[in-house]
Amino acid sequence: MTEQQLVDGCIREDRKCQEQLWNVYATKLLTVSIRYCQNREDAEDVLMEAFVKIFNNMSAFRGQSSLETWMRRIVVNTSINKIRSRKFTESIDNEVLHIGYSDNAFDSMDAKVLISMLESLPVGYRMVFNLFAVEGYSHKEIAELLNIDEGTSRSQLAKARKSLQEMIEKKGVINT
Amino acid sequence: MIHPDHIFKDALYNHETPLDGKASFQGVMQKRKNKRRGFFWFSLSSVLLLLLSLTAASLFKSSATQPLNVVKYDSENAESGFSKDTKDQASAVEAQSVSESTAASGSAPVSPEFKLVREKSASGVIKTASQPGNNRGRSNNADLAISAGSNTNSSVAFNTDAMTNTDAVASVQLVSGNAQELQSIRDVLAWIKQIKSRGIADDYIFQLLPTEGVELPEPLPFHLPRKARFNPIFELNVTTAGNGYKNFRESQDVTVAGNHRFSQYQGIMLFDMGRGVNIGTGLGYMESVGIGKALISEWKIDTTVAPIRITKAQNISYRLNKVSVPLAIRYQLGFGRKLVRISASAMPGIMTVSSGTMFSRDAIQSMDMLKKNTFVMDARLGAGLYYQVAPKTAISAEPMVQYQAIPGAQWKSFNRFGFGFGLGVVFRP
Repeated sequence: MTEQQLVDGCIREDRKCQEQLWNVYATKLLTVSIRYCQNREDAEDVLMEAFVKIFNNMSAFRGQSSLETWMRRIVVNTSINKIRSRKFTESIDNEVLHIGYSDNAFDSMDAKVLISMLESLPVGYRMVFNLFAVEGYSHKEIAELLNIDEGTSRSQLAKARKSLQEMIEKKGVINT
Repeated sequence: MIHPDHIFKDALYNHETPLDGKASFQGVMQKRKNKRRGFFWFSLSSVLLLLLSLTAASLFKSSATQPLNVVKYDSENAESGFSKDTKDQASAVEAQSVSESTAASGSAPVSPEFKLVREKSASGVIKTASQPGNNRGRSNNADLAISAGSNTNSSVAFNTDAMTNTDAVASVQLVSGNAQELQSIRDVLAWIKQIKSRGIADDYIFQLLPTEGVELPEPLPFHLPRKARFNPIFELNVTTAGNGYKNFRESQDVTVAGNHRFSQYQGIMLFDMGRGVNIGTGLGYMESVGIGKALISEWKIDTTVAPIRITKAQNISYRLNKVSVPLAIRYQLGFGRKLVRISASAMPGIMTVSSGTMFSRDAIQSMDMLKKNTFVMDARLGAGLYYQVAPKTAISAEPMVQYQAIPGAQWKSFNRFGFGFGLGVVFRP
């Protein structure tokens, strides 16, 4: 089934097409939400919430970007909204996650370890780094999305990079 | 030099995380269904609320803008008092000109249900005002336009019914005439307005009209009846409150960020005991929920290294539902349709649902102390505004303090005092 057929099927509320869309993209988009959220539970909530929005607004997809890019944007926006609504619990989760690290986790560089590193960053650093480095947003777009100055976005990115560099070097995840 | 951007993008952009948790396609569809259902109920309740508001507004407006029925007073003919005499057409027209409804009808109808008999003294003061015994008028004849004096004298239009509903004279125009006479009319109008503003019915006003002179009786202190009336008064009210703790306290071993909310619904039948006191009972239902996150710290003590503080996060929530039989007392004081009301209720009842973990800012506790079917006693005291929106309907809005007592329970995590806001509708059939 092509991407266009999937889109058309979802607009028609065809359950098979909707399920197909879920099967194709859910795992990829879960990684996106995990990168932003503080725990797996929240990330799964965000994923489901995002898919509800995707199914409800499929007719708004104009095809100006790829379907995956459009869906990623929805997941990113939903994640940011989730973080905003739960910001007050940030301190607790950071502390707990930090305790959860073990040196063995850094023996190999896999996505899980990198995600753990991202999770250990403060929320602001993590969001800006994810948006800029992984999603490819510009500082202007980030500033608009997070309602901050471009300068703040740049400084948060620099701090995030520095923290991640230190973490990688300290734990020897990457041998340079 | 490590450049984390590339490392993270290469490793994570296309990474797929297996779905092994609760996320599933069925879950998405269920969530979508729930949202649609929520939207449906939200829309339905919004429409109902809008309709209720429009109905209340139209009732209010219609009662406030009832057409004026003009009654013309002929000062030349003291015997008949009010007349349709052709020689007074001019003053009738003059009276009509201050009454929009009369202008629309094109005539000056004479009220068949009452008449004011006026004996003009030398000073021009109204001596007598009375009603025929068989025709003590109700509000349909309460709109009154008086053309005092001759054709060229004074003209007064006056809507007493409008005053009942809006506390304002719809229109009073004094065109010309003897200053003393006009003053006496003003006095009567002011007096009627004064007592109407206390909610006294039209027939009662005319019963109270002085039979001699213009000495005006002192108005009643309250518009409420002095004697007990055992007609039931129905009240529906909802009280809601919530409080939240946003920040954790690092110094505490147990600290919680979360929210408590409660809503209490009551239907009460009250009886008027006179002098503004209502007493009654009914049925109440309370639901109380809390959701939060607890940060629980433990110190791990090892002889070889310094003690380590291990902190864990735990999601906590609770639900309490209660059915009660409220015993209510209300005291209303004030003037007109805008009153201040003090209300107090005792609410003995039993828990119907008790689950989860109760919490305060720095304590959590299981619900063992408050099991299902436990007897509980709440009490609350509030004071607020009470506003009559229609002849038989009033609304109340009152902040209140609530005290919750659970006999025998030793709560570390239970806040006995709560502050809420109540909204109610009172109906006097």
